[in-house]
Amino acid sequence: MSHDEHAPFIENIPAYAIGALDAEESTALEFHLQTCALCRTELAEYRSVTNGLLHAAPPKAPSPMLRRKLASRLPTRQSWTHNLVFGFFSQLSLRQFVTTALLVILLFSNLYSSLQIRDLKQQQIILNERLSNEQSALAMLAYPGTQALTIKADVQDLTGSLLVDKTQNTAVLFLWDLPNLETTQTYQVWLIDVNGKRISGGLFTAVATQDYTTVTIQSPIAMNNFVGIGVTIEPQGGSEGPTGPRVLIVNL
Amino acid sequence: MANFDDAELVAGVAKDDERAFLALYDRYASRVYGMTLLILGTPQLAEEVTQDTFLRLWSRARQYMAERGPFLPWLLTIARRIALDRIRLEARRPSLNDSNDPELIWQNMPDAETTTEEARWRSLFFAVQSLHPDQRKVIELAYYQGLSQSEIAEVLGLPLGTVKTRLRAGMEKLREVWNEK
Repeated sequence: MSHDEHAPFIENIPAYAIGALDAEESTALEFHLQTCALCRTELAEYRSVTNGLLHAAPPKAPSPMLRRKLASRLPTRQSWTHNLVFGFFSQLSLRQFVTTALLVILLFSNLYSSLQIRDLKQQQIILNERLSNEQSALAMLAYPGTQALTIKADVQDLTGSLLVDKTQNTAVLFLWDLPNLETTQTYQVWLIDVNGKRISGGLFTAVATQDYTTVTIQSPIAMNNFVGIGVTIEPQGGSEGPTGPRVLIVNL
Repeated sequence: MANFDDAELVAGVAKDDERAFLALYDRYASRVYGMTLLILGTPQLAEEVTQDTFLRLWSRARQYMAERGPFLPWLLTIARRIALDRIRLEARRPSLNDSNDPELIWQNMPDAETTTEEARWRSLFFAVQSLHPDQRKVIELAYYQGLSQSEIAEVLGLPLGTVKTRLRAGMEKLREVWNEK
């Protein structure tokens, strides 16, 4: 690079180092500096001068009041969660704050409604099941051969009866004060034949919100093939044969 | 706290240690205030900017990286930027006065032989004071008021070429003094 080409740039270096070069000339010089080691060296020397100027101002003590004022103005440190939440809200304008608050209310309202709908659906399933059981019971009562048999309970306060037409393969069990079980347990119905063999008649749980529990028992063959019906407590999902304590028995 | 070096104290400030913060204040408040007073010209504004500078140190101590350079230039650079922002905010363009007697100003200065660097800074200050007034004015307007050459030309009512010549000549003299030591 010739001296003439170099001159306009090197002349601007002192002004650039002190931050006084106008924008357009700064851009041109920065472009030139990328390829010119001589100018970069020159700039480094002038930069050390301007860095020196930073320190060159004579020290002077501020008033003692400033120290006290500063110490009292140090922001109280908050937990990061506090800063996160309140820092976020403090950034919002009033309109944004109202909109955000409404969105939050709407979100919680939807969540609450969803939970209520889920509970109602569960209640509906239970009521449908009970309605179905009671319709079965009513239908059975219309049969001339239907008998009402009293249960023999092994649990205190438990009472109930069994509606059964022995020529049919359906029976309905009504139970009062049936204890609630843990979530890992279930009641299981057993159909007992003359040889003492047990066949599963279905699983059920106590209905906590109602006074009594209705259970429809379906058998693959007519009820007169069995001598009794029993109920035991089994692990959730049921068992192949009775393993838990007996709750009741009905002799057919 | 007096035995701790700057980097250790800044690390303490980053962990919300108020004693470390006040130790740094005691160590450097006069440096920051001295520079901001030179830039702003009035004790009230200089104290406000000094306060803002140290509050920024309190909130941004984590950003200081000791491996990239000493603490004091970092702090003074922050102070200078805040002071220049303050000037721009208030659109203040005060004329620089020459009333500061160098001998009075340096009463609070550490002994010139305390450190080599301090001796160089002292020489540089006197070099600025000994420049031809025309050259000194453009350098002070550029460095302590943050004005570009065009703005200086406008403020002083001079042709741009004249400002460029004076600034370049003044800077060359300062460079010579700086390199002498």
